[in-house]
Parts: sequence; C-alpha cells; structure tokens
Amino acid sequence: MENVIVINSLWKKYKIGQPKKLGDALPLFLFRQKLKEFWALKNINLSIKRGGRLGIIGPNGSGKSTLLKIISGVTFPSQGNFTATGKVAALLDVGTGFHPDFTGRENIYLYGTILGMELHEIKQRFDEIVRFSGIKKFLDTPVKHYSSGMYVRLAFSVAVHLEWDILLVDEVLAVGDADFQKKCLSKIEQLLVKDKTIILVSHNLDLIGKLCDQTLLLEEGQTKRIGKTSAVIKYYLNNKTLNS
Amino acid sequence: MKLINTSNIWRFRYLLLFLVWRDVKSRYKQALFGFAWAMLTPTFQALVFWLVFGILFKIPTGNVPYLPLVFCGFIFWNFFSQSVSSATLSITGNSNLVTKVAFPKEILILSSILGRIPDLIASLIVLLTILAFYHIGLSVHILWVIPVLIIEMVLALAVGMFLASINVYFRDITAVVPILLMAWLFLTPVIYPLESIPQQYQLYAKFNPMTGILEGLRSAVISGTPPERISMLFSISITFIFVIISYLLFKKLEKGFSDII
Repeated sequence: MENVIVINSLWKKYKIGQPKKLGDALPLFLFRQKLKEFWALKNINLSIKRGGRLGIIGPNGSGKSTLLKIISGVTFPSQGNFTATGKVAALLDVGTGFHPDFTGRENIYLYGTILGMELHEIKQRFDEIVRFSGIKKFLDTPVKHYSSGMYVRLAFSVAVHLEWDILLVDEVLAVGDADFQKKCLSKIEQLLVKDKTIILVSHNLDLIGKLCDQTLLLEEGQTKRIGKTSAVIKYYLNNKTLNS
Repeated sequence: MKLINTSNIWRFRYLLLFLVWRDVKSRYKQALFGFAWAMLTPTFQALVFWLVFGILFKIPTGNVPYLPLVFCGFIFWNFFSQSVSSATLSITGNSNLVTKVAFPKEILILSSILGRIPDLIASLIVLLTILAFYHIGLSVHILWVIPVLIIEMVLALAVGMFLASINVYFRDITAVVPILLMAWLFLTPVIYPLESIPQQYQLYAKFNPMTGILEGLRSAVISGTPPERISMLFSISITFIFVIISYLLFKKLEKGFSDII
C-alpha cells in the first residue's frame, strides 16, 4: 500500500521570548539581540502507509505534540518537508478547533466545514454525532460552559463521524470517563477496517499497545526508536527503569 | 510559487459561509431589537448630520442637498471602516482556531468583511428613504454601485490583511487602527464634498483610493451618472498595488501565526 504520510529530515525551531509589543521589540532590534532558540524536533524521518496505526510515546516535552501539529498543517516545519495525502482531522487537545463562544451545534458545523465538507453532508451525520457524544441537552449552550469531559465527547464524536483519511489524536481520550473511552476505542477499531490512518499520541502504553501496530519513541525532539509497538514499548519501559 | 491558491479557498467556501452567518447572527442576537438596530443606528446618524452640519454649521454642497450627499458617503465609509477594524482583529480574535486547525487564514479576513454587508443593506434602506424624501430619483447608473463596491471591498481586504497579519506580531496595531481610521475619515471627502478641497490639493486627494470610490458611489446613487473615469482609475490602480503587497506580506507572515499568536 502507498504511503499517506512521508516526513523527510524534518526540523522545527521555536524562538523563546518573542516580543508582543513594539516597545519590547525595539531594544532587541537596536542592540541586535538574538532570541533564544529551541529545537522542538530534530531530524525526524517517518513514513506511514494507508491504514497504518502509529503510536507516538515519549516523556513530556519530547516533541510529540509538535509533530502532530506539523502533520495537521497547523504549524510549519523550519527545515525539511512532509506530505500528507488526504483529509487530515486532528484532535490536538481538549476542544480542538472549537470556538468557545459558539454553541455545540454551531461547532459541529464549524468543524465539518473546516474539514471541507458540504453543509448537507454534515446535516446527514448530525444526529449520529449528537447521539454518540451524549450531550444532546447542551447542544445550544456555548462550548465555553462545557466541562472538559463534555468538550472531548463532542470533539471526538465530531471527528470520528466526519470524513477524513488521517486522524491525529493527542492524549485527549484521557479526559473522558471509562465508558466513553471504551466507546471511542471500539469506534476507532471499527474505522480501522476502512483504510483509515491514525496517529495516536499517548502516555497510556496499554492503549498504544492495543491500537497501534507501529510506535515511535521520541526523546528531546529526536527519534529514539521506531518499529513494532511491542518492541518499542519494551525498550521504553526498560530504559525508564534504568534512568530512575 | 502560486500567487493565490483559489482552489484551496474554494474548498473552504462552506467554512467562509458559516463564519459569515455566525458573525451576523451573533451581532444581531445580543441586542434587544436585533436587526432593528442595524436600521436605527444609521437613522440616528442621519438625523445628527442633518442637525449639526445641515442646520447649525452649514456646509455648502452646491445644488445637491447636504444630507443625501453626506449620508451616502458616510454609510459606504462606515462599511469600509468597520470591515477594516473587524478584519484587523480577525486573526488574533480567533486564536483557538488558528492554533488548532489548519485552514487558509484569509478566510477569517474575508468573513469579517462579508459579515458587514447586512449592516450596509440596512443603511442603504435608510439612504433610499432619504432620497425619496428629497425627491432624488434613481437612474440606470445606480448599477455602478456594484463594481465600485467590489473595489471598496478589495481595498478593505488589502488593508485588513496588512493590519491583521502585523497585529499577530505586534498588538500595538489594535490601538493604532481607530486613530488611523479617524485620520483617514477626515482626509477623505466623507462629511464634506470633494469640491470643498482647495484646488491645489485635489490631486493629492485622488491618491487616496477612498476618494475615487466614494465619489464614484455618490455619482451612481445621487447624480445618476457613471463614476468619473480618472478618479476611478486612480483608485483601482492603487487598490490593485496594495492588495498584491498585502497578500504577499500576509502569506509570508501566515506561516508564523500559530507559533506567535
């Protein structure tokens, strides 16, 4: 099967302390000071085949979320390149792509149109989305009043019911309760039969072990290990105990 | 480099539509009278103009009565000015979307301009009432409003993209815009006719693209004649140059929006 995601020697740099006011920028400019730089990702190479399930693990600050952000197209690599073929849906964190002032109903349409869907296509799936999320009562409440659990329920059910080829999930499932998590997992498993590609970032190694065939271990922005999930998790756990 | 990726914007047309609808809805939903406010505001503005400049401090406007002439310029200026100010805030005001989902950010600018059209329509209804009151009839040349209005929207898009993208990096822009728009208002023949500008400055006034646009709209609506060709040409060329510069700047800065915002 062909590759849907190809990443070639990708680097991502962030500048620390970017000025927000002209008053702060002026001294930087006058004294030719350079901002501190931070490399969040260093030389990442990766390819994922259609229908692949990649897990990404690693300690906090290892660049997992940055990598997802780049694949989703929200932010851009500083060096190197990547291609993602098909529609990418991303659950980057709680309430991703939701507008806090919009109601749940409005956000379903917002997210659908962002994925490039037509209004009647969204309408068609509307009831199913609402049913799955279980938040029918709060559909006309602005989402800023939602609890984080409700946020995730809605976000996840919108994401899985709309049309996409690649789904990126960043640790959001951890917020939902156990029942909802189970529901999500079975939904994901259902989807995987249909040639959908999923990338999952999580600290929950059981979840990764259950869902992903390949796993990438990131450490300080670098690829530490990539390969079969069981092998990578084993390596990760062994090294973790050695370090502590 | 592809200058304008139209296929991309086309793919997001429903997002644009939805954002415009939502923007308009939220503005009218809040207030008690809803859409009535959109009509009441220009009505009161017209009354104030009539009282202050038509009665108290008479500004000579030739053979056209003051109120229709000035009110016509004023509502189209208002449309421009409100489009620019909401476009300036449209990127920073939607940081939730900018940092979490991928879509062409010019959609936000476009939607904040298109979202001002209902207000303009409400003002136009008030203007037509005033015209009827002064027995000013419309001619076929009223149709010139459409192309000139499109030029005005392109200019608003250019100014909006320019200010919005810099505003992501320096929030000072938010404070500068009202001052800029006020200065621009007084430098444009909005509340006074073009003829009242001294002869030696008239040429400079034409370099302000809004001069030709407002004069064009006035001749279409009030005098019932096509826009004056030279002024229109000035406005179109300056708008065209500005929209290209702004778009290039916008595209260059857009890549950093989600990191900086």
